Amino acid sequence: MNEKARKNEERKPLQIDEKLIGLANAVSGIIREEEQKEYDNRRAQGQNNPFGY
Amino acid sequence: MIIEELKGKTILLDTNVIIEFAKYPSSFQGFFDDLINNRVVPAVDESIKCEFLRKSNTLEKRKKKEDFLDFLLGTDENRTELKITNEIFSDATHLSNLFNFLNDKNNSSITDCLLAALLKKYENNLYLATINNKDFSIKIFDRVLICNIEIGDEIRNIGIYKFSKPKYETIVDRFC
Repeated sequence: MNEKARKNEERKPLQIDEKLIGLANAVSGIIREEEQKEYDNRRAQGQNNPFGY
Repeated sequence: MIIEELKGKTILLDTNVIIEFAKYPSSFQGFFDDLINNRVVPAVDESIKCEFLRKSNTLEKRKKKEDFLDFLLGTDENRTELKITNEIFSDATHLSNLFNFLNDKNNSSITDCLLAALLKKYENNLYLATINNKDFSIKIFDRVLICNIEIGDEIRNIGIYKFSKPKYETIVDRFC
């Protein structure tokens, strides 16, 4: 077993703790802001496809 | 939830799965716990990472997103991150042609085509988890599992896909 596989074996289930929730909130806020900006830009250009992913 | 064939394999997390996890972490905990408990290795490639990070307009925002990926996938030294080579790009173009052959309304992104090419290259060991199920036609890929994630009143359907060589060869024979 290679080192990467061993480390994966040792990975613990995700802990939805305060640290993760705080990080996720920050990232989702950033993403929503980016989505809104892209949506506004596309609307301004007369396009309908909002996010592209 | 995880089927036997996925155990010990690598699964690419499409950008939409990462984003939905950021928005609703508690709802996705069971899904990720299932992966880890069954030794399924969550991974990204350079195109997913680019898609996730590219819109940040400050270093601080980019750093937050990188920290989030570290949390989800492990830090650089133990993260599985697939490389996009010229061969992958070339195959992505070919697969994109096939997608358009199969569907006049095909709207797959470059990232989707690159992921498709990676699935083709590592057909025996690599799977993809995506919420945009229409981007990966079951005329070329096998949908081996659907995971339902409850988010309040809504449900997200994560499709798990694998490249199918027999399906691909049938389409290639028809493509002209």
